[in-house]
Amino acid sequence: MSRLVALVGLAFVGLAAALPLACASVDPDAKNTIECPTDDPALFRPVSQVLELRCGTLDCHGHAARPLRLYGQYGLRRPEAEGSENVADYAEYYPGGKEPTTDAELADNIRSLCGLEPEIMTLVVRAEKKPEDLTLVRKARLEEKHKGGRIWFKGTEGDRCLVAWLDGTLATVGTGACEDELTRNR
Amino acid sequence: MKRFLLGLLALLPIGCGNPALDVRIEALGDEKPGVEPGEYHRPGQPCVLCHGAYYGAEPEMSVGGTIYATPTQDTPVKGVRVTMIDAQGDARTVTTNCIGNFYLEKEKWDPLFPLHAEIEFDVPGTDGLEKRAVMATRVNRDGSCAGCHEGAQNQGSPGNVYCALDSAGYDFPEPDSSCPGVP
Repeated sequence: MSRLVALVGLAFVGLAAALPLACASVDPDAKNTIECPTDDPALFRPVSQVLELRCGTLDCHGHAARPLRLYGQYGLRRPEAEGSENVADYAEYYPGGKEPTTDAELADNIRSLCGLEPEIMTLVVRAEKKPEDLTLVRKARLEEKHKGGRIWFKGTEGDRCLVAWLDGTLATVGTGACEDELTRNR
Repeated sequence: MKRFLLGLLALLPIGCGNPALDVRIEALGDEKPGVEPGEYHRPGQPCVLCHGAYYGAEPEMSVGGTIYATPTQDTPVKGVRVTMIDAQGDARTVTTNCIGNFYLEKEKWDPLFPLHAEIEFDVPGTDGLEKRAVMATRVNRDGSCAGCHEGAQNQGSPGNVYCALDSAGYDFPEPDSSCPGVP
């Protein structure tokens, strides 16, 4: 019994001695790069508009505390002080106001979308995983528990819009599905 | 040990509270003096916060809110027809009372979110002219209008639920003292 205790103790001492080595092997300058689908406003703006309207309302993902946080014209606005160069008409900068979703809001939306599952997103962009491996796609289809319920079925306009952005085919297939989703069931 | 377990059991109800909701309910403050609790009380406040499963005020509501004249003008509008359609196409219409309040009891309508919402109102000073306004987004989960339409317009609130964007051409009357919602 005492021999067993001694062996376990020795193992712990060995592990403790190895710890500094393990830490020392980490390159302090190393950076992980998250790959994201296109941020070209001509392509991403319609996708963001769909997500803003379907997901980014103030009672859902238009909330600063949500891991997926969306800003937009009809939901939460990005905090901006009066006079900010990001906003053209500050008097109309509120949910439902006439100030369209700003470029700064678009940029923050992309960060939020890609930061949700950064490793998987990177693999999806590299075509090493499928878009439906992302919780973002599955929750909207209610293939995964989602308090907001089913936003759309697989293959419908909103789903095709999002998937085309994720798999990089949006430039080829165009943003028609996004526009159809925006005009449907307002 | 037995006493310790009993103590833990006694603490359970405290542990099951939701401090986030408690703070929001506390912030609503007391009743307005001269207005009894009922269908005319607390216009502009998030109804379902108290009339929901957590706080348990009767009746339990699925949807409730207050309609005002404009986003920035706190004149409640009586007689507005509020129509909501749930995700299964089940629709309900309810009319606002003299303080602008409307609600639907959960027992009578337990909708499947998201909801489409629209209003119809009689344009004041005209002979039966009606106007319709449709909410730009869906109601995704919060049955309280004031959960989002909270106070003045700002970067986190669209302001009141309103009939007209501004008061130009509309002369909505203020509720008079015959309305139980007016102290």
